[in-house]
Amino acid sequence: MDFGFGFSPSSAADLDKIDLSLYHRMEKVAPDIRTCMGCGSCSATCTGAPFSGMSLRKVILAIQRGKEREAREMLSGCMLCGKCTMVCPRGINTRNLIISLCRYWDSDKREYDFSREVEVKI
Amino acid sequence: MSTGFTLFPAAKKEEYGYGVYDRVITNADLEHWFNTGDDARIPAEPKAVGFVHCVGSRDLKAGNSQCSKVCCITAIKQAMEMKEKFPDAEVYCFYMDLRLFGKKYEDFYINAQRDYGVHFIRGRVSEVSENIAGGVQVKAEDTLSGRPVRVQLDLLVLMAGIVNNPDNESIAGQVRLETDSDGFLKSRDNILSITESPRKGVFLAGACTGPKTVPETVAEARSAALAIHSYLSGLE
Repeated sequence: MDFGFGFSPSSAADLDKIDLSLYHRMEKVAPDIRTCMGCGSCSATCTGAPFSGMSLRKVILAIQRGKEREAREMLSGCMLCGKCTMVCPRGINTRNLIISLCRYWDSDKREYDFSREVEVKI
Repeated sequence: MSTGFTLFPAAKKEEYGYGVYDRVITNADLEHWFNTGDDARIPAEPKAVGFVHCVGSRDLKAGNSQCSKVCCITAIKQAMEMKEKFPDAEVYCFYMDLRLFGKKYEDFYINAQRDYGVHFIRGRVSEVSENIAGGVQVKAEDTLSGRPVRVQLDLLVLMAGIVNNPDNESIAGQVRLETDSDGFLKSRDNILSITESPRKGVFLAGACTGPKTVPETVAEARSAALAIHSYLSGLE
């Protein structure tokens, strides 16, 4: 029977039930992730933002709220230009944060060889 | 005149449940507990503690449009103290804005985030209810992500704001002074003569003219004392 309405899942973040394993891992390798105050400077200066919906502020917030998939999708628009590092008023090493995240997600598949990455000639 | 201030009666904000739920206390209650260790409402091993900023401040409906000025830094201080006492507890601060104007206040904020891992959630708590476990469930909107959040807490601390002394009106009447629109006493000038009242020979100091921090109160007391000295010596 069609009542003309249906159920949609709650969009509320239940802070007791969310999975913060990624956040806790990042707290260790990139402790700056704690000090974001959501000013949005990073997103405002981001080269990729207008084209891909990338917003580092939102990525950090998503990780803090346990929404890993959302963070991962958004971060795929990052081009590692480093402008966000330059503008962050809290001096967050955003590059280290992003690289650490990529390394974490990559380690699902294989052990990430970071030294190899550095040697790549452009 | 130094009639001081009173704390906003937190029970007036019924949606927060102060005086109704066991696990809801105010900033003054928590400070009292820090000093005496005497408060049955505070559990032995809380797993999650929340702080609600701006309770009765910046709230036209509650009759107080003013910012209470000291609660932001007090909440951060108390949050860090709770984290020191209960390192395993998660501490959440629900804020509208963080107004950390004073010297080293911003450093406190960074410390709370970086060294203590206090969680700051931008959004005003809309509703508090008791849960089966005896704690409270808090609902708010995380305005930075635009999504509602829910969390179960073992203790909720309401940062009751600074409001005018209710006796101001009658005291001011006795010496023919005026109260301002916010209920605090009116200075001769809010920028240049805060410690002087519009009446000659009547001086004001401290939180009777508005929310003040301790350093500000001390500075005003000194300034008022000096002004009184000048007045009595006929230097004006």
